[in-house]
Amino acid sequence: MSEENITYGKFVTKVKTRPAIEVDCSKWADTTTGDWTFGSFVTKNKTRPAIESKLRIPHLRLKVSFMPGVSLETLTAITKAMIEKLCAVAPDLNLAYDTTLSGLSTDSRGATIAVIALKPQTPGMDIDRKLSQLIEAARAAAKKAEDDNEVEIENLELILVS
Amino acid sequence: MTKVRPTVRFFAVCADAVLSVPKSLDLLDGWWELHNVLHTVWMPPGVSKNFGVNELFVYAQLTDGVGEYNLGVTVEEADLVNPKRNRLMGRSDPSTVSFTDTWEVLMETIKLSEVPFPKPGQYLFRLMLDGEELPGGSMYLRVMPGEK
Repeated sequence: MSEENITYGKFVTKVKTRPAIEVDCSKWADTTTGDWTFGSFVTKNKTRPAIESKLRIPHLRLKVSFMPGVSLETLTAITKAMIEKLCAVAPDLNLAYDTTLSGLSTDSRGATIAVIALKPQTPGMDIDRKLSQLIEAARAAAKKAEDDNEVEIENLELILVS
Repeated sequence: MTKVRPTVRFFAVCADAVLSVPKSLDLLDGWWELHNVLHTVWMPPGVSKNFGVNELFVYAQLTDGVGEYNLGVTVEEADLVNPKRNRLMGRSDPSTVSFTDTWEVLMETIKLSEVPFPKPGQYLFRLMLDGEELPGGSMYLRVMPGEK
């Protein structure tokens, strides 16, 4: 789900409340005998201000800049292979191709820029720990794409967007 | 209507509890604010026995129940080695709570005043429903002697 689809706000609670039930416990012990002291407890709690945190699911953004002259067919094959490679590197993350964040564009020279966005479907997994492996896999996939398809990749970047 | 005993979602003993009622004055929209949830407490400096605390609040969230019940709380001086030797300090008068549907959540607060703690030790607070303990509705309060 993309960020735009999330509505932020406060929970609505539907609870039954009523004033506290009052109980006089003074009869529970014979306070007429012995010395009794009434007052408040002393507490020694360690406290600190609340930790403020916003929950996010980070995603991977792979940007591949090709030199001009790559056909759409070749581009599709390359990006598909790269997606497969990246997904295979981190099976525990259960990466899924996100069409809403992915796309193709061309720069001023007519060269193609492919953006592949992959979102983990297992949000609890540590994606940061896998990042170096994923970068390595992306580089290897890019090299293979160049060799197999006789294309030239000008630039490749893989970043974690949170 | 078949009665279904509720379950305890949350149970705590705290130094203060304040009921906030919104402008609509509808208690259904209100909420309880708990102040200083207690676990270990000290008697005031120089006091090491026969201490009575002015007030304590017992707060419970109950849900999943259907029917009418008597709700109360008991306080026991606990013997951690042999629970059979726990000594009942006292119990609150029962108060009626009623659930019309299992989705309903009841927030109940019992204000105990002048609660005696004859000596330092562990005191067990138990939530009782129709005279029986509710799973999850018990809490130990550790009372320490005051500093000399």
